[in-house]
Amino acid sequence: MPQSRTAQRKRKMLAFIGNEALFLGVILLCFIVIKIIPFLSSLIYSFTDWNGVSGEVTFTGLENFKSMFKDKQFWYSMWFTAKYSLATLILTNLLGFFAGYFLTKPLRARNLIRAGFYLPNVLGGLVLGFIWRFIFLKIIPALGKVTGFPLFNLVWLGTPETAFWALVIVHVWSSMGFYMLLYVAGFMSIPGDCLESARIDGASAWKSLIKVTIPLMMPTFTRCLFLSITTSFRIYNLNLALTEGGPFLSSEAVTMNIYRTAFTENRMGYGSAKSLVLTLIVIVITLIQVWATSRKEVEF
Amino acid sequence: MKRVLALLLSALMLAGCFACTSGSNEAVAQTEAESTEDATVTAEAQTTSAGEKRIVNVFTKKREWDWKTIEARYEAYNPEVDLVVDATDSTTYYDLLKGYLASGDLPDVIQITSGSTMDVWKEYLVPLDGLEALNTMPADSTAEFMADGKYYGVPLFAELHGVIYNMDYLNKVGWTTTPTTLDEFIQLNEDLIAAGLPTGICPWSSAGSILGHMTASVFSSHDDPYAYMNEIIEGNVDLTTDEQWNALYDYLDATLKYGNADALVTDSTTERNALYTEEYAWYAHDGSWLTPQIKANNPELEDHIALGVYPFFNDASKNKIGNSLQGMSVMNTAHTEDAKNFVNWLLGTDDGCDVLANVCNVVLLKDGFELTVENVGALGVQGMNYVANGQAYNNFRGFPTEIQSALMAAIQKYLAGTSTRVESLAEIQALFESCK
Amino acid sequence: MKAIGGTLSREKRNLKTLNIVFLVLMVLNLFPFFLVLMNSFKSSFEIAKSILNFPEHIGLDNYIKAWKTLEFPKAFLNTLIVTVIGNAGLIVFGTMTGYWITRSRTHLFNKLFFWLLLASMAVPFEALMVPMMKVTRVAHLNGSLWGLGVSYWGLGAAMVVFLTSGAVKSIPYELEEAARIDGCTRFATFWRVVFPLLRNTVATFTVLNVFWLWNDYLMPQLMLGRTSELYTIQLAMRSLFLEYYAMWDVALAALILSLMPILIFFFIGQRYMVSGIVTGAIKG
Repeated sequence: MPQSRTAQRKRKMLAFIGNEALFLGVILLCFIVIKIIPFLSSLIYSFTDWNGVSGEVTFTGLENFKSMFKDKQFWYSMWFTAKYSLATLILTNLLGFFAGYFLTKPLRARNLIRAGFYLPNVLGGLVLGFIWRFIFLKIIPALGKVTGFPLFNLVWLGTPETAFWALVIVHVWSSMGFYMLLYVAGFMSIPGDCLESARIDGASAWKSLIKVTIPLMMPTFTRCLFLSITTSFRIYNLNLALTEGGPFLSSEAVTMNIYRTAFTENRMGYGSAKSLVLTLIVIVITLIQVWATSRKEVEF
Repeated sequence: MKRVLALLLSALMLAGCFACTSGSNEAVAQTEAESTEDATVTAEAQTTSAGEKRIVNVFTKKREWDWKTIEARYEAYNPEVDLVVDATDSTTYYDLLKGYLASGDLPDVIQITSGSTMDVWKEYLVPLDGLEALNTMPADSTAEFMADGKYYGVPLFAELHGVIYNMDYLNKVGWTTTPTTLDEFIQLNEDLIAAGLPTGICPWSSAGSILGHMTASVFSSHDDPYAYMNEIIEGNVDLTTDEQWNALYDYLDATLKYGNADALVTDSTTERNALYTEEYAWYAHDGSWLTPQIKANNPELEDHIALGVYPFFNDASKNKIGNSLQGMSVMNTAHTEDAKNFVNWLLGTDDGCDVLANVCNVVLLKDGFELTVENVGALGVQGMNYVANGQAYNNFRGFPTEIQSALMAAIQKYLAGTSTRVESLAEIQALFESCK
Repeated sequence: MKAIGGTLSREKRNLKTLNIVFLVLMVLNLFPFFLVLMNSFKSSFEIAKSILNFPEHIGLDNYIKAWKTLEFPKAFLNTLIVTVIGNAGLIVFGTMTGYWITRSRTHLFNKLFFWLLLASMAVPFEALMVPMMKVTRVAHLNGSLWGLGVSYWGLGAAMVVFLTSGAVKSIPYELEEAARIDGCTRFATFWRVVFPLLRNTVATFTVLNVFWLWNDYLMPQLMLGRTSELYTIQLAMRSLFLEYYAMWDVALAALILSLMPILIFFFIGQRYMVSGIVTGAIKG
């Protein structure tokens, strides 16, 4: 006797749930424990004036959000981070894209060069800051004396503008290699026959790049832009190691501001509230970005 | 493919077992120690059950101390206790402590600074009244760690700071003592310039040292520094005309005028490197904490290094060095009795003090304990002489934590030249007043 | 004939110049590394004098000191265990999650899960640090390498799922259909058909994750801070950075020591990162 419809549907349901648990179970559990619960906890704290230590926690409602409205430094750091994110986004992706483009050509030392460009990604935080502080404070002025370029003779790390660009430069140096590799993978995923037919039709290298390659690489762009935005908005270790937010808090990115509020200033509640606002803002930005680039994804 | 997967999963499980056992061993050892501890915490019993040692967890930011020797000496003195030391980075010390608090894993012994920090952590600290070590130290040092009529910390060490001079350079231009007034400081610089010698270096990229250390004279010159701060908060003091603040800024002006060109981006590491390599005549701010590194990098420097007062005023009696006093506290955990015994041993007995002073070069406060150039270095000895002559101001620890970073920024803006003195002081005043 | 020959050799010359140009750029790009390497042979006094000078003599003193101070074999093993556990979990479970979420995106729960994962990438770690410690304590993850590794599954899942999802979308469903028709379960289908095609993506995020886990400091400090036998290399290295002084001579040598294993891993792995994708399967 064939099974009744409901029994069949039930079996399908069970099978589906079984697969859900199997495929998602572990990560779902870890995600809830490591990210969701702490986030909810942080959410609750953002409505209190908790100092991060005391056993006493007092609810203050929307007080933190009202203070945030007037907190000039917080919004400055938000704006600073947005500027920083935009600058690094453009530079790393441009450089990564073109490096990737050239490094998919049959060059002899190609693998070596790819590895060499990726290598900076290996250094982190403290040492990265130390080395580059030295470069900006000692090497560049020395080069400035020898060559006389005004660019080298600026007071690097001593003014808000130079501190900003120093951070951008180091970030680009450090992460360009990673995006380059993502773009290389993207380039190699373009079906050869599309480019073939373009060449047969007489398109120049530049034209086929614009009309064929780039549209086909939209998924890669989506991915790279998304990663770029989210990682640059979270910058902290480099910020701390290279400029410490200086001079006079002019190069303080938003995570550093939140950390300072939550820990150094003993205002965990207020810091949690800021964190919530940051999260919402980044989500909105990335939603817009993903929607915009996904729409342009094409298939042949 | 399946093979790779199988390999991965088995490596995973293997590693898991490995880690699990090492992890659970720790957990087992700790719970056993804790249950033993609970049984003996009230009584001062000298026996343990089944030969398990009791544990005392020390959380310190003094990584440079020879904790292995401290552990060995203490465990020889008290074989029933196992000292476990977690030495960490000083800038994130209290942040990590908050993390440990959240995970329910508080250490037993911690370092503490008086004032705002002690105020925040007080609720988890055990009063140390009656501890022998407290009786061996000067009253004005122990008084710093009093709150609500009880002692919540024991003075651990003094770090004396001021202007550091390389006397070789001073001798060359006819100076045999360090400047004691602002005019003398300026004169010294003029003499150095006339002789074609280097002047000084200022680590002003970290305004934290200016705020935390150099305001010692600004606040501690008042009988009640906290009352003075409250007056500022209430709006009863005009900082732009305040004598103390202006004197501090006068000194900053002098350092900018005569010191190295890129003072705002000079960090402490650069300044200290210059000290060890003897590049400059004066170092605008540093202290006795340098002794171990001086001994390691350039021991001859000890012969001609001098600690001078901060030359804020032209009245020598108003210029003093600074004293950064730090303490040790016991947290309210299951091991308080053993922890207190350890603190008492370290700071109250000759045995403990011997390790700290002679092995770790720490400037102790125990009355009658001999501090020499061999153990605490030239800077330490000179510093304690200033203290003995009443020529040291204690660091002010009462800055409200919410405005500390902004205060530092205000000072840095002045150093960078983006705000005038009046603007800078007005900004500082406004920050204090925002704490009302 | 001649014309074609002419264009070909010009292309070859262009490639040659490109090769050289990029090699030069690469060397310039690696200058900071050169600084690190060079200074790792100098004494701390030499470093204090100047970072740019060549070392007075090339000896292994710093490296030996670093080896001893870090208790390198133990620290290395601990770091290796954490990195292996973290990556194994992310590779195995992360790709499964990324795959399933992409293939059954229509179900509300999965959609929500996916967007939550992405949204979580907006939150910096430091913001969740303190509440996270409470939770990991309750889940018995603190104080063990295993617990730390598992925590990284939670922390790193978002990026793995995101990258996997992108890769899975470009794998034609017909391949899986063929396997399903042959009677494979979805689980078997994933491992037999899909996973091999994700090799590229897996290599990409694994390299990234290996560097992340290997160099991470804050998470191990919070979770392993009390048990020095379990210190990872980064934790052991922090003992070289004192309150008023950093032992740069030993620290730089320690840094090179700590980077060697993963650099070797990287050189091997980067070939797979960019090796040819199975365009044959797509076309065929």
